[in-house]
Amino acid sequence: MPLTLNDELITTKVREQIALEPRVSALDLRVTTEYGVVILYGHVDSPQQAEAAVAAASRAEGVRAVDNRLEVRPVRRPTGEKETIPVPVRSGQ
Amino acid sequence: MAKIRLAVVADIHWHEQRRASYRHHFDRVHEFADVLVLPGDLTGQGLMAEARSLAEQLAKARIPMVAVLGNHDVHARSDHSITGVLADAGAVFLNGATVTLKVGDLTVGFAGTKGFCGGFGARCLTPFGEQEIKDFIGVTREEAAKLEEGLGSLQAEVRVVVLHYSPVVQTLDGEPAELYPFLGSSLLSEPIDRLGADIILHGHAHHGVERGTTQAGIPVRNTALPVIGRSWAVYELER
Repeated sequence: MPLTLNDELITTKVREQIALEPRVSALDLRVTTEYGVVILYGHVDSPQQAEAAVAAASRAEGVRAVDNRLEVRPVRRPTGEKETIPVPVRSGQ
Repeated sequence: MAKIRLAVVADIHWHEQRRASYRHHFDRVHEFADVLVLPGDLTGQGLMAEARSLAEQLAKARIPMVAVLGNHDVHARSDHSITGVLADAGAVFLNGATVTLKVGDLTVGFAGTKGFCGGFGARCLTPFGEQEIKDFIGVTREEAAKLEEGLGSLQAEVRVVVLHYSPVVQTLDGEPAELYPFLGSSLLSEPIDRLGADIILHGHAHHGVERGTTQAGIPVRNTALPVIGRSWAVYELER
């Protein structure tokens, strides 16, 4: 039986590959591995970014398959939405 | 009633896809805010090409910009050059320094620095044992000292602190607990609580939540792009 990498090591190698992919921010993604199948979670800006993340994950050693559960969520355009925070007047002002 | 509006977004991690997402955003930011604040991780991997591309977009903003570096911005050891390129586009980097702006009838002062990690409260790393541990938490202490010096010198009606790393644990909710010590440190909140501020803006915790407060009750906002999910969050400070 060939030697196989354990899931934790595969997850680390997938993270390394995604970190090398300039079109994707690795911190936006979560990676888990179950029996060599990598599951990608998180948000990306576009379908192209999701494809790039899957391709990067697939390049990692030990990966049997990639389950793409990424949510494509473009950066929302500016709106008038705001939060008001009161500022107290300090002594001496 | 005097007001100042801050548009804030951290962790843009600029790359080509993000450029497409943000097209025509920065040239409209003046419609929504008086100052644009960028609490670190402006670039994806700290590359000059990313900084130059972002600078082209930031140059379209018609309002003052205040920023600190993030860990990604220093990754390739090009942070000095990145700072220069983005400063040419109009961004003022704090790194322990302060800047005071007059907006309408108000003076607003910004103090900030990148910050660093080390954990929170009773679980905060202490300078004991190996030299490497002392060096590690020493960086956080130096960052906290820079912040204290800047904040102590700030003379403004509205006081804003800008960090990349989190000064409180609340805005990390949703992150894996094992990561907390690497996402910020309460050493950063201590000088702020002592000297006072009206809002603290940070990023870095992509899976955290937007709102928290320090022990002294100062509002803390985690403005990491994946957390706010929009071009920027707008905070209107009113007195």
